[in-house]
Amino acid sequence: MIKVTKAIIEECARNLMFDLSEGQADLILEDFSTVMAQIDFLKNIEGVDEASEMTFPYKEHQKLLREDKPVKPLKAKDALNNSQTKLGDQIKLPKVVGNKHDQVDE
Amino acid sequence: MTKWMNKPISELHDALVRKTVTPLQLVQDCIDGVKADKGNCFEATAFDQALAEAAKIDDVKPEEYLKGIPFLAKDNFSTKGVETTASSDILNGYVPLFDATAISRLKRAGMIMVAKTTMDELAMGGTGTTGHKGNTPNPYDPERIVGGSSCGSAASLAYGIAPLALGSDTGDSVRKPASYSATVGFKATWGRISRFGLFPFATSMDAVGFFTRNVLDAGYVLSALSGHDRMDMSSSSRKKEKYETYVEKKKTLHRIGYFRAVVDAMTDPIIKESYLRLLDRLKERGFEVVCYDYPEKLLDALYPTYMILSCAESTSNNANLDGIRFGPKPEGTIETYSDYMRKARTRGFSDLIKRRFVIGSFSLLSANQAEMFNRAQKARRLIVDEMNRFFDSIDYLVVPASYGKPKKIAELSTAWSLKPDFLDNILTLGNFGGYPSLTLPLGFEDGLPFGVNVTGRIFEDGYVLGLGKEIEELTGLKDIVKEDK
Repeated sequence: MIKVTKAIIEECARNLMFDLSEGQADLILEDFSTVMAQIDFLKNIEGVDEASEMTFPYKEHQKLLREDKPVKPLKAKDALNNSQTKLGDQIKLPKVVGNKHDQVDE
Repeated sequence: MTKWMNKPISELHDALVRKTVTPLQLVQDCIDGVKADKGNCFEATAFDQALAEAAKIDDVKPEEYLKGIPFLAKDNFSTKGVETTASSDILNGYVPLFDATAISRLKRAGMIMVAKTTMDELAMGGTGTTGHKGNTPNPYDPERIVGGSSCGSAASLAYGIAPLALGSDTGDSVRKPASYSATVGFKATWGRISRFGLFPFATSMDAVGFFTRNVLDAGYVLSALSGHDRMDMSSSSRKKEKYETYVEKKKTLHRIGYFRAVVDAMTDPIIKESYLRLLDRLKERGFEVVCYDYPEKLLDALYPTYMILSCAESTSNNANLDGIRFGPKPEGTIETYSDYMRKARTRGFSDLIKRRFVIGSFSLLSANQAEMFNRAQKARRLIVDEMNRFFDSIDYLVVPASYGKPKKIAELSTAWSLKPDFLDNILTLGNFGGYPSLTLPLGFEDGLPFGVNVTGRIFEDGYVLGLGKEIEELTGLKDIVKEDK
């Protein structure tokens, strides 16, 4: 597991596409001392590592075939309604491709 | 104090059928209550729409139980033409183009939405203090929390502003505030009510819930809300039922269980005495009441499991909030789309939400996933397997819904608890296993309400409501409204 550091926290924030305000990374670092203690607690529960992962509360297989129903698509006017930056019938964005620093860390 | 809105739905329905009141008068009464807003309960209003809808209703037939009756909705339900922000700046100004299925089903039943209620930001909180409009405090003591995240819905019901308010429940976000506000809070079986149009927080646990002031009203509302929805792939295709009949006929199952560890850990003498007395009285009514030794280690695992899973899921679920398709435009010079998004998200999310996202993101990093996120998923399996063993022989789990007075707002901390009290997190069992779960009033301590919670097997929602009715009769606590002094 990666050791939690201020740099890792800032990297996570960058990947999440926001900046942390002054002092936030330190506060999160403090949070992590508790989080990691609780991870250790989970690790020590008997049988936890042998258990299968649970994603949803229960399994229920459904045999449904959805019929294709024609629907009216969203009108451009409606789709644009909530955007504050538009040009004609499109949402206007700043430059989308071609900037090296736009690459998101993996 | 409103003239009509402090009454139960049954009474309003009778009055509408007898034409002693009109839908328009009910809506106007609700609007008056919203305008008077005593506790920062509201995010947005839909007065014009509501008045127009009410004006269309000429008469109400006896079988149209919900028709013409106003309701409120938590601000994380998409509502066509009404601003919906989930109490977060990132969504300021966002006006959905469609109604969530829960909203459209209530409208189809003839109900009329009047306003949207405050909540903890993006439903990620349990205090009612983290939304962008500030605190929504407890109607019974403004220095204390009413709980969250469905704070505005709980408080507005307690004030008697409407007879129904929608909420959502990922950990205990309907059932805990119900305990603190002397209301009835219900979370249906996961998959029973469509979540289409409900802003997701942690998809594997999110459920539509609601507040009423008595159990019969909850039965009628569940009947209107439930049923398959092709727009929600997690919606169950099991046949819906007439849930009100479980309440009217007091249809129940027989065996009630309680956890020894819970009774041993309780420290509030008034709540403990009320709870044990309730169990005794249920025994006198003919129920079998049995003690179950649910492992304390798994109870202690509830909080970390919940926090890791919910933070991780929310990180992913809220990635769409980019400020481009909706939300306020960031200020300053913007060179690229990623600058745009980063600035919008930096300004739009509070520090608390960012902290949760970072923790969620860290637990999902490929190097950490096995030890954090996957281990929490495994712990969830153990928690639910043990709960299902409980339900192999016992029909209900009955526990207190809160274990002390609601916390004082001034004493709240945003830090993660190092040694969390499992009592504070026990209602998450209902979300981990997707069980139907009901909170209803049990008593008052120094004027502050506390509730009891009933949880049943998946898709036995009706039986949970049936036992709720039995308890309501035993306590005599129903249709409670915080009176003005």
